[in-house]
Parts: sequence; C-alpha cells; structure tokens
Amino acid sequence: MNWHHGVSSAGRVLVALVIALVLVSIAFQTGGYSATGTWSAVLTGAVTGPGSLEATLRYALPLAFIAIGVTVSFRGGFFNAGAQGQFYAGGIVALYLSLVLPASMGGTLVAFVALIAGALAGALWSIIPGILRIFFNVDEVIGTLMFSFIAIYLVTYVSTGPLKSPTAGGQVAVTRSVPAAVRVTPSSGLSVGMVVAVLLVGIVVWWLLHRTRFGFEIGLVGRNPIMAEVQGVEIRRIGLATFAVTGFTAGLAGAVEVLGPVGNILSGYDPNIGLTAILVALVGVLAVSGALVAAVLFGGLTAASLYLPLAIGLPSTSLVFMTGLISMLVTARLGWGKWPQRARQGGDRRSKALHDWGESTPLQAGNDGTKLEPVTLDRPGSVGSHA
Amino acid sequence: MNEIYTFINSVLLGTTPIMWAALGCLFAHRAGIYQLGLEGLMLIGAFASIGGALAFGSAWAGIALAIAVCVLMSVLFWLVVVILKANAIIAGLGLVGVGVGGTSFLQNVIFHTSGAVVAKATIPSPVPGTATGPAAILASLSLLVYLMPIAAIAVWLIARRSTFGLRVAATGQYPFAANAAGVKVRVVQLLALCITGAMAAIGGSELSVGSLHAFSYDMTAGVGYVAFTAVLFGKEAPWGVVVASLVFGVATALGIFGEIHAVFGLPLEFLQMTPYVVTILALWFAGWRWPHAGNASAGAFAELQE
Repeated sequence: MNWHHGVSSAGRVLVALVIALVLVSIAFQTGGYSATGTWSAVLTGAVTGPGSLEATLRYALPLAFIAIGVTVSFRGGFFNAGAQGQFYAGGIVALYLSLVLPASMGGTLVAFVALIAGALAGALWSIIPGILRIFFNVDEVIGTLMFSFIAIYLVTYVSTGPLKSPTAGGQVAVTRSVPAAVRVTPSSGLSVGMVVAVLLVGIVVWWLLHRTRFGFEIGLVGRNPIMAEVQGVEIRRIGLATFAVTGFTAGLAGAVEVLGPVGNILSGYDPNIGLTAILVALVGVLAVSGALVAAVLFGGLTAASLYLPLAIGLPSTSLVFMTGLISMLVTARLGWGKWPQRARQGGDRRSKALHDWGESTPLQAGNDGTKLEPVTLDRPGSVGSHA
Repeated sequence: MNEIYTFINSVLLGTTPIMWAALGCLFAHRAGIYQLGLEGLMLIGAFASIGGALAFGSAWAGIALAIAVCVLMSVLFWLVVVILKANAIIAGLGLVGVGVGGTSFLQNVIFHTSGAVVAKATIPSPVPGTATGPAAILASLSLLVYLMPIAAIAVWLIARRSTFGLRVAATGQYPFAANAAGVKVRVVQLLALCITGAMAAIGGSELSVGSLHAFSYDMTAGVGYVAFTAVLFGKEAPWGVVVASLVFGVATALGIFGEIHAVFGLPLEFLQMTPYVVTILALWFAGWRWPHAGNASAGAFAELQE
C-alpha cells in the first residue's frame, strides 16, 4: 500500500505527467499545431477563460466520484475497468425514474430516489462481473469491459427507443429531458449540494479505507491475497464489496451527470470518462485526497478538450492520446523515488528474481504497481509455504 | 439456402480480424505478458494500413506500414512494461487510449476529417461478390481470410514445435527456471510482443483495407478485447485460439444476421450486444470447465508457491 510511500509515488506520477506532456507537445508540434499555442489554449479552456474554472469543476465532479470508487477496487487488487458502463447504468436508471416517478412526490424526493437508484444500478452493473470473477474465475478486466460495451448499446437503445424525445429529429438520438424540478444542478453542472456530496463520499470512503476493519482487509487482499486468506480474511466477501463500492460511486456519478448538467441522455455521451477516471485514481496515487486533486486536474483537461476544437481546431479526442500516454507511464518505475523492496528481508532469492523479471503479470499487482512488498506483515517470506 | 451461405460468409468475415489478432496475442500471453493493448494495436494497424494504402497506392504497402508501426508500439509497450515494470493492465488500457486518441488526432492532421477515411487501394478478393449460390460463402472476402489457416498452422508450428516457442512458454510459466536455463527472458518477451503487434496490425488491416475499405473513429469497437478473450478462452493453445475465434466470429455473425432479419423482433441494439455477451459466457464456461486456465495471475502465483 502506498500511503506511507505517498511522496515517492507522487514524484513518480509527476515524472510520468511531465514525460507525457513533452511527448504530446512533440506530437502536436509535428502535427502542425504549435505546442505553446495548444497549451495556452488548454489553459484558457481550463482556467483563465470565461466560465472555464466552472467547467473544470463541473467535469471534475463525476471524475472524482468514480475515481474514489475505483481507488477502493484497485487497493483491493481488483482491476475493475468497467467504470464507463457503471456510469451509464446509473445514468439510465436515474433518467428513467426521474421521468416515471409522479411529480406529486416533489422534485427533491424524486431526485434523491433517482440518485440512490442510479448508484445501486451502477453497483449491480459492477457486481455481476464481480461475481463472475470471484466465483467463476472470469477475468474481471474483460468482464467489466464487456459490461461497458453492453451498457454503451443500452444507452443507444434508450436514446433511440422508448425514451426518445418526441421533439428530436429522426437522426438525433436523445432522450426526453429530466423534469426541471428534479435537476440537481443547473446546466453549468455545479451546485453546493453536489460538491458537498463528493466531499461526503470522499470522507466516507476514506474512513472505510483507513479506519475500519473492512478497509484494512481490502489492503491485505490487495497486497497479497494468499497471505490475507491465511490470516482469515474472507477474500470473496471483500472482493464483492469492492466491486459494489466502485459500481456504487460510478453509478452515482452517472446519475448526477444526467440529473445535473446534462439533463438527458444523448447516444454516446461522455465516451472517455471511464478510462479518465481510472487514470485519476492512479494519478491520485490511490488515495482519496489524491483522487480529488487529480480529478480537478483531469476535469480541467476535459474542459479544455471541449474548448480546443473551437479555439485551434484540434479534435477533442486528442487529449485521449495524452490520457493514454499517462496511463502507460503512470505505473512505470521511472527512476525517481525509492521503491520498497523485499529482497533485503531474509535474502529471498525468489523475490529478487521476481523483482527482475516476473512483475509484468497482473492481479498480484499491488495498488501502485509495487508487488509483494507487503509481505512484511507477519512472517516475511512465508507466503509460499501456505498456498 | 442463400441465408446460410451469407451467414457463413459473415462468420468468416467476423472471425478473420479476431483470429489474426488472437493468434498474435497468443505469443504475448504465453510469454506471461497480459497484452490488453491489443485493441489499441488493432486500431493503430487499421489506421496505418489505410494511410499506407493511400500514400503508396497499394494495400500490401499499407499492411507493411501497419506492421511496422504496431511493432514499434509493441517495443514501446515492452519498454514500459518489462523494463520500467509498469503494470501491464494499466499500460495496456493506456495503449488503447493512445490508439483511439492518436489515430483520431492523425486522422484530423493528415486527412482533415473526423468522418470516414475511404481506402482507394484494398486487399484483393479472389471471389467477386455474388448474392446467391454456394459462391456467396466466399464472396468479397479479402485474401487475408484465405491466409488465415496458413497463419494458424505457422503459429502452431512456432508456438508448439520450435525452440523459440518452447522458450516463450518457459518464459511465461517459469521465468526463473527459464533464466537459469540460459533463456534471455526479456528478449523473448520482446520478440513475443513484436509478433503480437505484427499480427494485430494484420487483424486491424483486415478491418479497414480488408473488409470495410474505410477507417472511422474507434472502428475496432472492442474487437481487440474480444480477440484478447479468445486467447483466454482458447486456453493459450493455438488450436484452442482458432476455435475460440470461430466462436466469437459466429457470435458476431449472429448479431449481424439478427439485425438483417429482425429476429424475435428484438431492438437492434440488443442484437449488437451478442459478441460481448458471448465473450462473457465463453469466459464463464472456461472458468467453470478449466478453473486454472487462462488466468494470467495463476502462473505467477504458481511460481511463487513452489
């Protein structure tokens, strides 16, 4: 776990960000867009332009929700890569409820019910691949990704089918709008209530992770599932719970997005939010506070990416390229920061060898890409003899 | 009968990109590297082959360019994952992002469009398009479809009947033993990743210059993930991967068949979900039938547990 290596992790993340920045600048420059011009446009779109700061926070909001949940999964060593689908599931259910629940219930109550139901829908969308992973050994990366693809088609179905707006033209795939009374934010996407909600979710998850047995056990499972099992942790229960938490926050983000700034569902909306949110969690060194900071950073990039086509004619997907580069580098050991090594503890040759070659395999990957470091728990080097 | 011919035709059409990429990914997987970036590589291959075909006027030159670019990307991936020890899953998802964003950026820079880029030179089809009769099975299939069995046999020979294949397997299953036996683990992993890149490029090319004759934003739409799953479902064995790819090809064709014939009156979108649902079911089946196959982490732990 990296909270006690937080500083070195932050250094490594910083190096990754800088390298990605340089590479992307070179790409822009070669592609005929001036790098300085691009970055000043990014700055305008994210911070200095009129309404830019608001837009940054508006895009940071859903990213923060999702990333906080993803942090929980990744700390537990479960690669829940399906935030996109969980986000959509939450959005669809929230929209549906906002349309069918009677207005006599009152806008606030309807919004509350829709938000919770959306979050639960996200949890369900996450827990099905979770069950498949834990009880049927279905690779969770593929499982969650496939559920995302299914959700993408559900969004298309919803926006062209039963909930399609009667006023939208034939080719425009958009649903009816959420009733004004149910909207949780104005179209700007910012409201005190939602900022408080993010902070509240952050505090609850932080408390879960750092102050409860559940959080401690997540850490154990993430560091070394075999060891955790030996120590009496119910890995299956912990695993399912992490899937549920991740899905819950992603679903909540989806519900907030639909009931808040967007107000309807357009086919293929926010297509990259899942990958970006995973990256936010990683750039935030898998800490809740880090996720909040990183969410603002990537919220700014998202806001800027929507401004770039208008300002300098750069397609908004170009920043996906940068997101991808950062993802490739963020867990790499870039030679800055001290890495916990297990080799010194009892001269375990196998861990030395593992350090040298065996580390590109997944799942045993710890929360920050460091593997097996945690065996310091009880009896160093005793993993092998048990399993 | 004509429906059946057309159906088999679309099975072959759906299988080809999956099988090329999956047969390549087999090597990465056997070398112990979880190449989830396959989706990104296929997309880059699809784009590079269109670009090459337009620049050099020949689809084969396009494929050569695609292979070159994808091998280069694989070297980068190797650098990040094997040398810099990044997490392969995260780096793989990153490679997908690089593919989606990079191709979209280049599409804008080179072709000044965010719509479809249409190929003028395409891979030749030995049998011209016929709507009826048994010839419809092979109608309008690119040469890459016919080369598929040869590729499968070649992959089987290399993976299962060559020293190199043995080294790849040793690297994936027992890296420490392999190292002790004098296998250069990192070099083997590099070669395995390059083979994966090259074959993913061919799979991507089949999508663009092979069958659709155009490139559009994010056109792979999960085919790479499906191909990756075919490796898991095929138990990392060449013929297993061939069968798994065919299963996913049938699933793709079923989706298309359902769209055309409006089966069960289901909405279009639900039929389009077929390949993804089948992928999950296939992994479920694999997990139930062969609990220890295809789980990339299992090998690593096995090594630890000895």
